[in-house]
Amino acid sequence: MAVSENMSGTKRAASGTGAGTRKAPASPEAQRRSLLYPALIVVILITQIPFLLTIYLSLQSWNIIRPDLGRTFVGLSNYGREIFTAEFGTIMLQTIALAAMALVICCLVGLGLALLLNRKFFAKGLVQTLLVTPFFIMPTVTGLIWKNELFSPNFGLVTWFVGLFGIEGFNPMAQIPLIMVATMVAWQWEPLFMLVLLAGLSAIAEEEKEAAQLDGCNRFDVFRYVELPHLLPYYRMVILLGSIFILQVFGEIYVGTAGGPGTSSMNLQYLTFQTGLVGWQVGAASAIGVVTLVLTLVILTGLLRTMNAVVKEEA
Amino acid sequence: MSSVPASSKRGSRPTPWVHYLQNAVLYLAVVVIFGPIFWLILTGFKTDSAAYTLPPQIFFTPTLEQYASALQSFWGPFFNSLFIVGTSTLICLLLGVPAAFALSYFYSPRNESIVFWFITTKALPLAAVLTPLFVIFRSLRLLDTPWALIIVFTGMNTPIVVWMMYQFMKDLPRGIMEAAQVDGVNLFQMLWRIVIPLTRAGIASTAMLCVIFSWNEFLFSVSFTAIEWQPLSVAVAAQQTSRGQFWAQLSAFTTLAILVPVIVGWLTQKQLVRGLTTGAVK
Repeated sequence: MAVSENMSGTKRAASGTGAGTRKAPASPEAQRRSLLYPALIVVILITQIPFLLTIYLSLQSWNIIRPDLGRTFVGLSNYGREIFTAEFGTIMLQTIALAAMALVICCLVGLGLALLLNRKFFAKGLVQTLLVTPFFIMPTVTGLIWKNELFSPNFGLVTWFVGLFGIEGFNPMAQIPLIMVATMVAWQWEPLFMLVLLAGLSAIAEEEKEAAQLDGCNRFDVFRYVELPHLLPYYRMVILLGSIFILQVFGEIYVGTAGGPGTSSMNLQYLTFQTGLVGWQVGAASAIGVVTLVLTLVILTGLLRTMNAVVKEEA
Repeated sequence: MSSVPASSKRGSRPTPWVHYLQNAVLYLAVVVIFGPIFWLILTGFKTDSAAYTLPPQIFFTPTLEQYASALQSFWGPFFNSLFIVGTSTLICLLLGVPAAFALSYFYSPRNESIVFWFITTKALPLAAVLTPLFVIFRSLRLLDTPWALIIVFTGMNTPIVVWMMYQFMKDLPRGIMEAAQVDGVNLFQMLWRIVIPLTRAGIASTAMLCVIFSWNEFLFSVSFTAIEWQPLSVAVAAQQTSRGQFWAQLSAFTTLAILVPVIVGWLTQKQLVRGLTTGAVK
């Protein structure tokens, strides 16, 4: 029964038609639609239509708690006033820097832990479970842990610890807030990188590594020539997936630093919230939202292209 | 240039001390990565003054008084979260599972790209839809009701259900379904009696992922709810402002708040990766 995939696909469709005419009046295509369209329509309604409305709102001047000012069409002036400012530029760069720092930490720590976990050792299951846990923690709780438990200037554990070495005035949440937010994000997302890379590592046949060792490869060579090329598609997948979420960090900032001091730890997501739901400037917030989407798509496309090229080169 | 004896040892296991060194690094990583959560749980059992004592105390007389007072403000937001997350996850499954079945069962050249389209909707930043959703929910008077969050979580998580369930269903053996079809099983029976039981583990892990994502979501939660229907993620942030000075009590509250997603996550971590990686890695 050596039927090619395409053939079996056609056959399936054909037999489906046969069954359909005998049992039910609906054709396979109609059945396919009736199962698929509810999900499709709901997702379009909830995610795509509002975005069109965002574009429309971004052309309006509208302060939602000042109905007396009314809602007026202002063309592109929201973009002019909100986007081409030094502050917006800085926050845009902060968004990118925050995601880049978090991604680099995730990639390195995730790989290190995956390599260490891909062995047999005592209490492996427990160790892995504990290492995965931050992934399940609320971002707001992460903010709280960082702000109070670890780095509180008064009673933080880390503050106390560095104090033992005579370091005074240690307050990283105020001094290097963006880096601290990046560490929070990395802490939350490192488990995903670790799990995916571990899945990649454990898919490598033991014989392949042994063969390389018989050929005189040391542990590093095995990593470089056997494991790393095999991991690249896993990296591509987890970096793309991770970036989608890491570009939209919010809860950690809200609780951890409130975007401050000043705007020094804000990202675009936070700025949109701040403008729209704290400042009630619906038009301006929508314009920022539109630019956030454009930036996200540019970054994701760039990442995908780069990583496709890397994967292809190594393959 | 490696030494011949070392490389000729078949499957050369690392020497014992390398093995133990690697273990030591891992255990240290556990302390650094899980430590903050462990300490949070521990602090919830301390008295308020003990929570602030430096050097930090590992051994102390545990007390349940923090939990007693944390529980008073816990049940409200907890049941809000439970209702919102439960309802939205159920709707996501009702929409997503049949869609994934349709995409994996019926042949169409567009299926792969439809699955891909679903997952690209995740790339849409929440910021890009925040204001219109707020305006819409405001005019429909849905702000500070569970329905606003149920609607947005359904939109957020249905694509994940379609994506993951498609990966699980694609791998099902064709023969079973074709045999069932020959037996004259209709489409609903096929889905309910054959496909769903076969992918039970996948459905469970997908549902759990939806639960974790919506339980922990914060941007929409803080934007669309106020006092009445605030879920736990918002309650944690609110408590941090109002009870920041009572760190032990806040720790107890926070420990309760993370309980559900952490337990759910522990139970499903293995399935989770399978659903996310198969298909995404070629």
